[in-house]
This record gives sequence, structure tokens and C-alpha cells, in this order.
Amino acid sequence: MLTLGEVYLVLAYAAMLASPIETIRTQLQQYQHADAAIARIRELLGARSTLAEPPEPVALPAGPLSVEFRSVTFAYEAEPVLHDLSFVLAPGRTLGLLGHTGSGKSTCARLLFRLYDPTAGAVCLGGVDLRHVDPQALRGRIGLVTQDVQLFDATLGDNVTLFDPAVSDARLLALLETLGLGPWLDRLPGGLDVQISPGQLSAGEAQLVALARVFVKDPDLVILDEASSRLDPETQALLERALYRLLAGRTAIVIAHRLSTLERADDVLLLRQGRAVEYGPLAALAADPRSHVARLWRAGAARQELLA
Amino acid sequence: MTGMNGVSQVGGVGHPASGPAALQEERPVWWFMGRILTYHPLPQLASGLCWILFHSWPLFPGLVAKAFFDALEGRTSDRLLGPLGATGVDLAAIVALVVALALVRAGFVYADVFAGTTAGFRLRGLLQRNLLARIFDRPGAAALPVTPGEAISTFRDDVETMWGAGWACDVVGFAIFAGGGVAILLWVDPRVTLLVFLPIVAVIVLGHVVRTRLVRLREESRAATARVTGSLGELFGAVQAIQVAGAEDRVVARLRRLGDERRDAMLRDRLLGLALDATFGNTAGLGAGLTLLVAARQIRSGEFTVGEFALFATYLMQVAEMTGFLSWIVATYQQMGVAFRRALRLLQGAPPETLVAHHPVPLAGPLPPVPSLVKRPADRLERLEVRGLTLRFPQSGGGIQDVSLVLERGSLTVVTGRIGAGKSTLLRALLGLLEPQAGHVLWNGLAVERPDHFFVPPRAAYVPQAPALLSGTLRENVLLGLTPEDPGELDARLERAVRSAVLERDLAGFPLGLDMPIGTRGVRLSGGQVQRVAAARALVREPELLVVDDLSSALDVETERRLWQRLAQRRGDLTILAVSHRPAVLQLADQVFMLTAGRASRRRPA
Repeated sequence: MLTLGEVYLVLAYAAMLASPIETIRTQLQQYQHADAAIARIRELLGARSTLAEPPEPVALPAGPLSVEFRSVTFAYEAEPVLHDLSFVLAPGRTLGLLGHTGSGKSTCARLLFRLYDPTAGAVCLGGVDLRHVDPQALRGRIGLVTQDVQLFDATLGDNVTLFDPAVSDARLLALLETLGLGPWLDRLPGGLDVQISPGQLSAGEAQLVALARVFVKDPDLVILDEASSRLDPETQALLERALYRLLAGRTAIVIAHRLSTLERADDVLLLRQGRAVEYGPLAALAADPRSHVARLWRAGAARQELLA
Repeated sequence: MTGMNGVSQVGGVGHPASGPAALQEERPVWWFMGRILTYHPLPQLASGLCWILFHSWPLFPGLVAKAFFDALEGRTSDRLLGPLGATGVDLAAIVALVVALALVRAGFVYADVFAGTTAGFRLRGLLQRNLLARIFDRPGAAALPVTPGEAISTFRDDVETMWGAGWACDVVGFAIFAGGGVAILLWVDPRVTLLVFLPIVAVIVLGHVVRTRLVRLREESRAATARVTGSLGELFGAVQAIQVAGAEDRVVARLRRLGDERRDAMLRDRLLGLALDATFGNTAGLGAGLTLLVAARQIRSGEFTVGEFALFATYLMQVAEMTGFLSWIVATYQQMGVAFRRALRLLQGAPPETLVAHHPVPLAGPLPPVPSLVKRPADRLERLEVRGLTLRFPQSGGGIQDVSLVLERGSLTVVTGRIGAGKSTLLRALLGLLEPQAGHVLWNGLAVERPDHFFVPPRAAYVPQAPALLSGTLRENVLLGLTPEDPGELDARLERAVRSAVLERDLAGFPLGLDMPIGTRGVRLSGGQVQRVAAARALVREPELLVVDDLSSALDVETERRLWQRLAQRRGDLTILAVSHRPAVLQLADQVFMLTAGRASRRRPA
């Protein structure tokens, strides 16, 4: 027989059991949540890039890089954007890339940066097929500025260096000065340490930040995709003089509509619906009265205007 | 209401563009809770009742336990449950009663799933709806007073804290249990009873002492969370820029640093909360032990029956549990205060009532229809006049100063000027996307009082410099839910807009045409296509006034020329105000204004 005390003990313990059981129930529920979350994360981790990493990466040669498109055809989906495009750009030269909107200019930039692989043909830098180059090493050598600028809620300095404390303020100031941004910087209270919240800079100013960003990493190939389209003509002219100074000793591809941007280009490639219409040294094409480039040049000069 | 709401005759006297913000009236947390709980009173009441019963229910098992032990001891003359003991009920029946009581208590939780969950989702919906409505009510370019990360954190975490207001009912249940328990225990033994409730007094005092610290730690942990959320948002939006700069490691390092800061803040916040829980729980437990020791001595002296001892023991365990809960409530009340203050900051000067104002929140069934766009005769623009518009940014010193211009119906006006001269600011101030410090805008001679409400389709449409497209199809991006008065007219309107925006050739190249998905925020379109889709979005609304900011920056000459020619062809019923540097646009312009350091001067006609 149980004593009175033992009966009480049993009841008291039974009551005390309730709380741990409740805890176990909650934990089981959390376990289920965790299980579902882990499944989703595995799915994300399981996603493989369609761009295969080379098993034995080939190193790119040092110094300015040559650019070569070998019969490149590319389609985002079914419809090709580039058709059998071939050209060679020697190291250290500047190529002006022309064409209507949607003619495939930006696609060329994306292929060079290996955001995609060509559907057929090969894209080569320094004579090496990009598919054989370590993607990290490749991106370390190329500077790309697009029209679409993304800013961070951080200081101006951090926005230019993208949080690289190794870049000294002195180097940064010198770079901004070279780009002709000194007066603009002087107007900002706090200089490099001014906190930039999204929307505080005008679209033109944001483009200047993006331009400065690319030269911080001292690239051997620079691709400017409509990098100065949102600037007024005077600021643009100022910037372009500086730009070509910075482009010395690097290979460059400049995608633009405006004549002034291309005046300093060495070579010109005119694209129409993904095909090369004309390609060659600017001086030679401009001198050939029958060339498209010369016609655009004349029309542009007459109207003080833009090229297509 | 006529179509001219927001417009009034200009008086002779000065016309302030915006008054000082109304004085904020402080409201206590309980006032917000009251407004929240009366939103859907019936389900809320049902849910509250469930919890009140749940918390007061333990009164019964205590009494049953007492009867049980009294029966075991062979006592039949009980002061409370005499009849139960007197009838000599067998022990099995009492055990069955204990089980039944526990099941009924569990039943209350189950019932609340039906009553409380829906009510809870409605409340969350209401709070988020009110926050969003206020954000959309603000001038568009100054809609958020905080970073997007902060705003998301308020939408998610603070709302979560706020809609938990239902614990008010727990307090009521707790009070009933405490009241009933005290009465019964006092009746059994007044001296021992007083000991039981000492810990609760200690809890309330201690809760008051740590209040400031609790609030500060909660504010810090929320702010740290907001920084992580904001940083993640930026990171996902800027993957390409990060890759291009090769800054993956540095950006992740920054995120890690923010994450570490957040972990520290959260740990401090949680630690204090848990420390309070532990302190209170153990204080209550120690108090209970003390009480039992005193009671045990009285059993020996015969003043206490074993049944009464069991009653005390049962209640004490409940009291210990509820004391812990009370400490949680004390902390949560303070944390709710933080949540409400953060939400009010997002409301930017709107009265606190706005946050908890009652509005319908459709959770089930078809969504309410979008009102169709109707152009009334009064919406016709004859003449738009800007007088002395001034907006200075105190931080950068930029902005516009005393800008005046006149736009006649069907004219093309171009504003040009250097970077940072204030061109975009002028457009935004005119449209009410920013609040000017002085000056006003007149529509057909009438002053516009709320430009942000007035300059919307079908009166005005705006194409910003960097247009924002959404993920979805081209058609969805152009229409954005537009429903014209006559739905049959939609296709014709779309066709006109596509043609005016020179998109027809691009469309012909897309196998799916207007139904082509454009990828995340339009990533599959070229820069020029994005601009023209944004232009089509404005034109399909057939506005009287079209305001465009640097529309053709990504267009080649040929496309640009065609675009402006087609826009110019619509000048019969379209008045255009444009920011541009391009000669093709300047040549077409009826008048050109040059902005220099925020001041406008007319260049053509001179």
C-alpha cells in the first residue's frame, strides 16, 4: 500500500512532468521548421553554375590583355543575340563599340566578364579561352562599369573601394582628383567619410562613383558600358579627358553613343543586330568616305551630335 | 468630390507649401493595445475567453486535489467540498475528474487556434496595411525616413511584437486565478497565504527597476537587426557590382561584422529577459518552499489537513509559473513600447491613431477591384505654372532656388544644366515627390495643395532617370494594374503607348511579345529598353502632363530621334516637361531653361 506521502509524491511529480513535455513538443515543432529550412538551403547549395570551372586553370599573361572573339554566337534563349562575331583587339588599344540599342553591345561585355559562355565559338583574353581561366582571377583583371549603378548605405570611401581598408585615403583622393572629381568632392561635407544613403546622389554622381570604383583595382582590361550616359556634356567632356589618361597602358572597350567619347578610340566595331558591320582602326574608317563610320562621323559632326 | 480635389483658388495672401508637423501626442502602450483588441472584437473576445479560462482553470484541480487527500485521509467533513467528501466518492472518480479538468484546459488552447489565429493574422495585416498606406501617402522621394533595412525590420519584427497584444487576456486570466486563489487560501489559512504572494510583489518591483535597461537593450538589438537586414538587401541587389569589383570577401566580411554586432546585441537583450525569468521563477519557487515549510509545521500541530496542504502545494506551483509569466509580461510591455515608437517613426508625423486605425483587411476571397482611371473634363491641362519653387538640401547645400516657369498646353519644355544643378530635384519638387520649402504650382490657375496626390495619372505621369521595373511580364510592367474606364479600349491604348515609346521593333523580336517575362527587375532588357518600357508605362495612362527625366540617356541617336518625334506628334493633347542634355531634344523644344546651382534662367526663346 502507498503511504499518503507517496501518493502526494506521485501527484506532484505528475504535475511537474507537464512542463518538460510541453518543452519537448515545442522543440519538436522547431525541429520540423529547421528540417524544412535545411532542405531549402541544400537546394540552394545544390544549384550548380552552368559555367564550368576549369579543372586546370591557365594563367592569363601579365600586362594589358588582347581581346579576341572567335566566331562567337550567343543566345540568351532561342533567338541568337550575336551571330558569328569575330574580331581581335591588340593589347593596350581602345575599341569603340557602336550599335543601336539591343544590337548586342552589352552582351559582348557580359561574355568578356564570363557572366555567360558563348553558345558557339570562343572568347579569348591574352590568347586564352575564358573557359580555361579561373573565374576569380579573370574578374580580378577586368574592370566593368555598367549604366546600372548600385550604391551601398555606407561612406563614400567605402562605396568607391567596396569596403577595402587596404586602399589608402591618399590614393583614393589622388584617383578622384585624376578623374576630375576634386571640385565635386570638395562640395561634399565630410569628403570621403560622408555617409551616402541610397537616393542621396544624383544618377550622374552615382555614375562617377562607379567609374572611380573600377580604377581602384587597377584592371588590365576596362569595359565601359554606357558609363557616362547620365552626365551633362561638360562634365562628360572633363571626365573623358581624364578617362583616356587612366586608360593608358590598359586595353579598353568603350560602349557609347556619343561621338566625343569615341574620338580617342583606336579601333571601331559597328554592330547591327548581333553582326559586325564594320571593324578597323578609327582613322582608316573615318578616312574611307564609303564607310558607315565615316558617314556617321560626318552626320555627327554636322549636327554636333551623337553616333549610332 | 470633384476631380479637382487637392486644388483650391489662390488667395491673395502667401501660400505656405507645407505647415509645421503637427505636435505629436504621446499615447501609452495600453491605448494602442485597446485599439488593436477592438479591431475584430468578436474573435478577439472568444480568443480572450479561452485564455482567461485557461489561466484561471488551475483553481479547480487544486480543490479536487484537496478533496482527494481528504478522502484518502478518511476525512468527510470538509469545509469546502463537503458534499463531495460526504458522499464518499471513490478515488477513481476523483482521478477521472483530474484528468477531465486537464483535458478541458487543453481544449481551451485548441479552441483558440480557431478564434485567435485568424484574429492575429488580421491584426498583423492591419498594422502592416496602415504602415504601408502611410508610406505611400508620403512624397515619393522622401517616403522612408529610415533605411530600407530599418523599415523591413519594423514591418516584420516590430509588427510581430505589436500584434501579440492578446496577452492582455492572459493578464485577466491570471488576475482571476490570483483573486480566486487568494480568496480560497485566505479562507483556509490567512497567515500562510500572505507568504505566497510576497514573490509577486518582488517581481513587480524588480521589473520596474530594470525597465530602462530593458528598453535600451531592445532598441539596440532591433537596430542591429535592421542593419543586417539592410545589408543583406543591398547585397542581393548588387551581386553584379560586387562580382565586378571582386569584393565578395570584403562584403561578406562586412556582413559578418554586422552579424556579430547583432548577435552581441541580441544576446544582451535575451540574457536580460532570461535572467529576469530565472530570477522571478526561482524567487517564486523559494517563496513556495518557505510557505510549505511553515504549512508542514502546522500539519503537525493539527491546524492543517493534508488536503489543505495539497491545495497550497498545487496553487503554489501555479503561482510560481505565473510569476514567471508576469515577469514576461512586464518585459513585453516595455518591448511593445519600443515597437510602437519604431513604427511611429515610420509614420513620420502622422497622428499615432493612424497606426491602429481600423480598416478592412481582406484575408480571404477575391481582392477588391482596382479603381479604374477616369479622366474628367476638369483634369484637362491648359496651363501649368511654377512660382518661386525653392527646395534646399541642408546637408549638401544643393537643391533649387526660386524657380518659376510656365508650361502652355501642348508645349515641350526642356530643363538642362550640369550635374548636381538641381534638375531632378526641380521635377520631384514640382510633382510633390519632395516637399519644397517655398513656392507653389498652379494647374489652370488654381494652386495645387497636395501635389503628391494631384500629379498622378490621368493628370500627370513621370518617367524617372533610373526607372524601376518589377519582375514579371512586359505587359504587367507597362499596365501596373491599370484598368481603363472602358476595358475594350485597353489593347488600343497599349498599342499607342508601345508605338509612342518606339518599342514596336523590340516587341517584334520577342517571341512572346508583351507577355515576355523580363527577369528580375528587368534584367533581360537592355538599358534603352528599360527606359522605353518606363515611357510606355507613363504613356499608356494617357496623361495631360508628361514629366521625363533624361529619358534617352541609353538610346542611340536613331531611336532617340524617333522617340522624340513621336512624342512631339502627341503634343496636341500632351504637355511635356523634360530634363535632357541631348541636342535632338533641345532642337524640338518650345522653351529651354538652364539650371545653374539651383537657379533657372530661360535660354530659348530668350
